[in-house]
Amino acid sequence: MSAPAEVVVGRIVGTPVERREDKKLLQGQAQWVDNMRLPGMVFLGVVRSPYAHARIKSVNVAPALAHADVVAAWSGAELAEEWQGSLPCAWIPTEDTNAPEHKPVAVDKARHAGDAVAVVAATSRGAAEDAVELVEVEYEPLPAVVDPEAALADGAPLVHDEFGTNRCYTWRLDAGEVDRLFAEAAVTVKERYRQNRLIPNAIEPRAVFATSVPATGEFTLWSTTQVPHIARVTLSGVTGIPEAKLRVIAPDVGGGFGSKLNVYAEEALALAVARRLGRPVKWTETRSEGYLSTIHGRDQIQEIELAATAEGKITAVRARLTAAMGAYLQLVTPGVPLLGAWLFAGSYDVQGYSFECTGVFTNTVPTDAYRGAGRPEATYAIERAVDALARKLGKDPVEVRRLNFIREFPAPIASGLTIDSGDYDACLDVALESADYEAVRQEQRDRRRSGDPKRLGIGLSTYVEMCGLAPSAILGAIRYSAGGWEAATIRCLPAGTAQVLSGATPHGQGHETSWAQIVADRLGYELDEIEVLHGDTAVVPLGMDTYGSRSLAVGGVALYYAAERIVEKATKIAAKLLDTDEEQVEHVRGVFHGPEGSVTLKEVAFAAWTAHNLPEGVEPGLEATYVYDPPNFSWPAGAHVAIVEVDTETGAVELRRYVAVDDVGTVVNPLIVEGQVHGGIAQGVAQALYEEAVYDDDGNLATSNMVTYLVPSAAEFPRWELHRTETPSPTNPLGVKGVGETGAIASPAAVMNAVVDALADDGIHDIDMPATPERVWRALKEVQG
Amino acid sequence: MVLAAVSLLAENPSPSQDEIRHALEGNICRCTGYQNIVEAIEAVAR
Repeated sequence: MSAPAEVVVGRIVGTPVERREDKKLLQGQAQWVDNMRLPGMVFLGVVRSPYAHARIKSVNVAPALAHADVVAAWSGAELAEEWQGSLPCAWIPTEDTNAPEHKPVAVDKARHAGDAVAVVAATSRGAAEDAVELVEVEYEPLPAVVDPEAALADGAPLVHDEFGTNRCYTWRLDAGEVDRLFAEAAVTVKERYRQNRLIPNAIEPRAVFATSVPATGEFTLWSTTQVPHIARVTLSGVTGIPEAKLRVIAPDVGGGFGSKLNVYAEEALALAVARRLGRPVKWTETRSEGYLSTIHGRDQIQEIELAATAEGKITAVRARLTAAMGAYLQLVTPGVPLLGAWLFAGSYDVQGYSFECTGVFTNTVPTDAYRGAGRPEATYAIERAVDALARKLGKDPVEVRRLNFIREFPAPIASGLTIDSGDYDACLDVALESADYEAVRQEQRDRRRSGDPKRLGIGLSTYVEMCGLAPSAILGAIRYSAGGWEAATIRCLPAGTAQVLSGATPHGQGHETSWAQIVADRLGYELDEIEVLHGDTAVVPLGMDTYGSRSLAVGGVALYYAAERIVEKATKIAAKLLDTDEEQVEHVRGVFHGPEGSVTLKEVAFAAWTAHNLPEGVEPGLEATYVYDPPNFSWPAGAHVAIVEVDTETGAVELRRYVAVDDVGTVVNPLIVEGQVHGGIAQGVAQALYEEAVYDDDGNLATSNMVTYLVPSAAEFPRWELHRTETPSPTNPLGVKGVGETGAIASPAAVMNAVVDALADDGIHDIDMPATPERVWRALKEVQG
Repeated sequence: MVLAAVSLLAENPSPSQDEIRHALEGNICRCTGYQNIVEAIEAVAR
C-alpha cells in the first residue's frame, strides 16, 4: 500500500455545494438518447420470445416487410453473419466455467421469455411496434426451469444443451482450519436465506441511437450506458467495427444502479442495422420490455454457518451460495455473487473462512450487477446470522457484535484481503444513541407484556463493504478481463478556464460538481470556471467508467494526482516567469509565490500557451493526465438501525424509523453523499419489504410491469435519519472510500433483522424477502398451527 | 413530482409530512429515496 499523503479538506472540498447538473435536468434541457432525431432514421423493434424455453422452428418476416412503413426485417439466422463474437462476458471465474455463445438475436432456441428472435426496422416507432406483431415465429415450447436449485437437479431441463448441465461454475475460497473450528465450536448456527430477484428500474429506460458514415466506416453509438469505454472495446469485438472507427457516447443518463453497467444486444443490433441500412437507427425499450430484456439483480440461495465460543465469539464462517445466472452470461453475471466472496464474515474478526458459490443457468433474464452487487447479499447473510447467534445465546445482538468487531487496522481478514481503516464501535455508538436503543427495547418489552398485537422490532446491520473497484492485479487474479484503474485529465485553457476529462462516467452521481470541487481546491479555479467532460470516447479517450462505488475512490484520486502534475509543470513555468529557481516557488491554491512576486495559475496557463518564455525542455500547453490504479479496495462501513412495527393481525410491516451511520471516509460533498445514502437505503428497504421479480413455473415473468412489481413510493418510507463518522482512507490522498452502494448494502439486513426481532417471541426466526403482509401473516399462521 | 407538489400546495398550503408523502405516491423516484423532494415541498409550504 502506498504511504498516505496529506488529507485534503480545503476551501471547497467538504462543503455542501449544490449540484451544478440539476438546473439543466430540472428545466428539461438534458440530452437523453431518446430525444435524438436525425433525417432518415429508422426505429428498431425487437421480436421477443413469449416462451421461457422454446426451439425456434421458423421465422417468417414477410408479413412485416409488407407493412408500408417497414424498411427491413430479419431473423436471428439472417443476422448471424453480422457477429464476430458473442455479447461480452468479462468475468469467466474459473477455467472450466461453462460460457455459452450469446448472439444478439437467438437462432436455434429462445432461452428466456423476452429473448430476441427477430428484428424489424421501420420509419416510425408505431410502425416498428406494429411490425413486431406481424413477424411469424413458429416455436416448439420446451420445459423450462426457473429455480436455481431445481436447475441443478438430475433431469432438469437444460438451458444450454451443449453443457449437459445447468451448472455454470463452482468457485471456492478457503482459509484457516474451518472444519476444526466448527468441530471445536461450543455453539454453531446454520441459516438459509433467499435473495429475492430484483428489477433495477432506472427511471430512464434503456435507449440506443446509432449512426454511420458508410464512406469511412465510422460509427457513433449514443447509449444509455454507465460504461461507454467498456462498450466501445466490447462492441467492436461483437460487430467487427474497428475500435478506432467506433465512438460511444453516454449523454445524460437517468439512473443505472448497475443495470446500465452492461453491453446489451440492442447496442450491437443498432450498430449492425445501421451498417446494413446506412441509416441512423434508434431503439428505446418500453418499461415492460425492459423487464424482459434488461438485467435483473440478486436471485441467490444462501447457506451460512457460524462457529462460535459459548460467549459468542465467532471463530469461523462457512458460506455456500447457489446463484442464478439466468439464461446467458451478461457483462459480469458470473462475478456478481463473487464480489461478496470476501465479506461473509462482515466486520467481525474470525480465524476460519470458507466460501463456495455455484452459478446456475435458469430460463430467466440474466442477472448482473444491481446496486451493491454481491455485497448486499453477503452483508445480509452475515448480519442475519449474527442475530441468529445472539438469539441462540440469549444475548443482545449489540453485545455479540461488540464481542466480534475488528478493531485493529490495517486489518488482514481471514478471506485474504486487508481492510485499510475503520472504527466500527464509533458507528455503532452513534447509531444506538440516535435510535435511543434502550428506550426502544423497553417499549418492545412493554408491548410484549401488554399483549399488543403490534409487535416492535429493532434490527441492526453493522456492515463493512469493499468498493472502489479495483486494484488491477487483483482483478486479474480473479480472472476479470479488464483493469480497475481510472483516468483523469486537467486542461488549463489559455483564457482562464479549465476542462476536466473524467474517465468515470456519471449517470446521476454529480461528478460535474464533486470533480470541480477537487480541482477548485487544488488549483484555485472558481467552480464555474471548470467544465467537467465525460461519457464520450472521442472526448475522453481513457476510462473504465462508473460502477462499484469507484468514481471518487479511483477517478477522483486520479484527478487529485493530475492536479499535482499540473502544479509540477506550472511551478517550472512560474519560476521562469518570476525569474527565480523552481525551489524558490511555493504553490498555494492556484498562486505561485516567488521571493519577489507571484503569478497565478491562469497567467501560467497563458504563458504555456503562447510559449514565448518557457524554460528549456518544457513543452507548450498546460495539461496533465493521471491514470490511477488503486493499491487496495476501499472499505466503507457503518451501523444501520431499523425499527419496525409488525401487525400480527394483518401481517403488515411498517418501517417506523431508520437510522443510518456511515463512515465513507473523507466527504467531498455532503449533499451528494446524503443523497446517495437516501437512495441506497430506499432500494435496500424495497428489497426487504416490497420488491420481488416472480417467475411462474413455466418461466413467465408474473411481475411483468410496475403494477405487479412494487417500486415503493414516498408514502412507504419514513424520513431517513443520517449520521456520519469519518475515518479517512489511508490508501489514497483524498481519504475517500465511496458511497454509491452503502445504503443498499446495509439496509436489507437491518430491516429483516427488525422484522424477525419483532416476531421472535412468536416463534418466527426467518421470513423470506420481501416481507409482504401475506408472507408475514402466513408465517404467523404456520407457527400458530 | 413538481406538478403533484404544486397541486398539493394549491389544495393544502400547510401539509403534514405524511400528507406530502401520500400526495406524491403516484410518482416514482429511484434515486432520491424521496427525502429531499419531501423536504423541498416542506420548505416551500412553510
